[in-house]
Amino acid sequence: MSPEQLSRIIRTTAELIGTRLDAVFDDLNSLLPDIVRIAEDAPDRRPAKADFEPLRPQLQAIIARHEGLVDGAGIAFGQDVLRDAASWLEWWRVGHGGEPEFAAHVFNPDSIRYYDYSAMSWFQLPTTSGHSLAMGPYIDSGGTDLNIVTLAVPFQTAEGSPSALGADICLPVLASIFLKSVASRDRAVVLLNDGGRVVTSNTARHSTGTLLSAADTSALAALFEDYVPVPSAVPGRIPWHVGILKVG
Amino acid sequence: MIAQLRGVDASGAGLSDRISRQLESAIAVGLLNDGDKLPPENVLAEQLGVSSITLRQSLAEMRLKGLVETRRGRGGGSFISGKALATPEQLLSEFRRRSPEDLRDLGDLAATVAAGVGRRAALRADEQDLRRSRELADRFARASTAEELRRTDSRFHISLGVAAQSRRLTNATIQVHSELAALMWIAGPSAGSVKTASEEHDAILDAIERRDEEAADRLSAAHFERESETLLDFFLELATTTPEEA
Repeated sequence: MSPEQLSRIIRTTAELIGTRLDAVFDDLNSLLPDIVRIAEDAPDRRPAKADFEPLRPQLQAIIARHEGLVDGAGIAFGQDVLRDAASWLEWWRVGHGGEPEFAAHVFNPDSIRYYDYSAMSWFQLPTTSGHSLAMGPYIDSGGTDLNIVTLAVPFQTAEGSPSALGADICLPVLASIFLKSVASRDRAVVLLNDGGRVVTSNTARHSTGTLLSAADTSALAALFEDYVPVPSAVPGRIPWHVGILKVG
Repeated sequence: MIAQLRGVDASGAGLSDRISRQLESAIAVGLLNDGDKLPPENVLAEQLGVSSITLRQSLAEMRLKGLVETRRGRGGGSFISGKALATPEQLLSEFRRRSPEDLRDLGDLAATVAAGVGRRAALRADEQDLRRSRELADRFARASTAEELRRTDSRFHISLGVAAQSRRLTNATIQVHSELAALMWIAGPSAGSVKTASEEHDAILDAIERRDEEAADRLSAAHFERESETLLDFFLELATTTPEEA
């Protein structure tokens, strides 16, 4: 395969990944006004868990709309946003029969299954910076118990710490989109996150989770023969690159 | 979480007894907690890989011990009950019912899984993974009660599975600890034993941080080999010096 062909492939692949993930971000953003309104309308502007139940069909629709790419979606509330729970996840996942199921989490700190999402990067980074982010892949132990990517959109309500709206991206489906687009194993092509971790690739040597090198410009140039950023309507939201690894 | 308990030897006599012991261990280490609702019987039986009849026997045993309560009606089902925390005496009597071969075997599994986890964490852990594991290692070092030690120890080792970026190794670690943790520190935690374990945790983390996969593998295995040797020594000590309870 010629360098021109390869260069074209990584560009179309990066664009495809960007388009698919941006569509999920759009869905999350479209829910924000309703969430903020519910919080505003609550007594003392501190809503209860149940106040968000009317949003369930919309959360479930996000899961249904992306051809399997979205494995779960929900709201992760910041500390003291709700009046009846310090931490809470209004989260829905694809169930065994394909129907959406409520995802129950353990918020008991004494449990070894305690899901302390406030300490997890997918929640912490976007709520601290105030910017949306595609985070992962990571092992979501105590949550989905899968290796996943989470797209998170932070928001602030009148009371309490920042919260985040999120969607879990199904890695096998993301890998399938990537592989169908690359459709070649002549050269090692890698989808790399900003921490230098492989999201997916067409080579067993650099499979999902492999740590290559931090993705600053000089490191990327040292690693890849040719590479492109994954484009997004909001720059920085998907801090990933698609690149052709140097031989050797 | 129930599925992670599977791995119990599901054959032979006393199967229902073993299932209830497995569930009791899971409660003792904090894998199952007060108020947790158990899945419907048919689902739970399938997850644990036993027949519904066997499961019903186990649940009946646990109900008698006050570890499970069943509520009727809408929102009903079987729940882990508030009286579920195993007492030191219960844990000790469970421990005495083990066998040397069984303890050695569990130690082998723990060391083998940990070695693989350590090796892969050295290859794949990033700064955030390491920070999380260090935090849990610190919590372990500061823990004072046996119960706290069990939980922080388990959570530390589970975090290494996460750092290794492996879902299956994380599950295997949870499975090992759901059984092992109930046996740990039953002799009463001495400052020395906590310090040794804590230093080993730090050495494993240091090896992971400098990406030394050989050392992370070796130190992780050695950590569990030493701990299971201590356990086995304690078991043999009990078996040779104190009379069996009636």
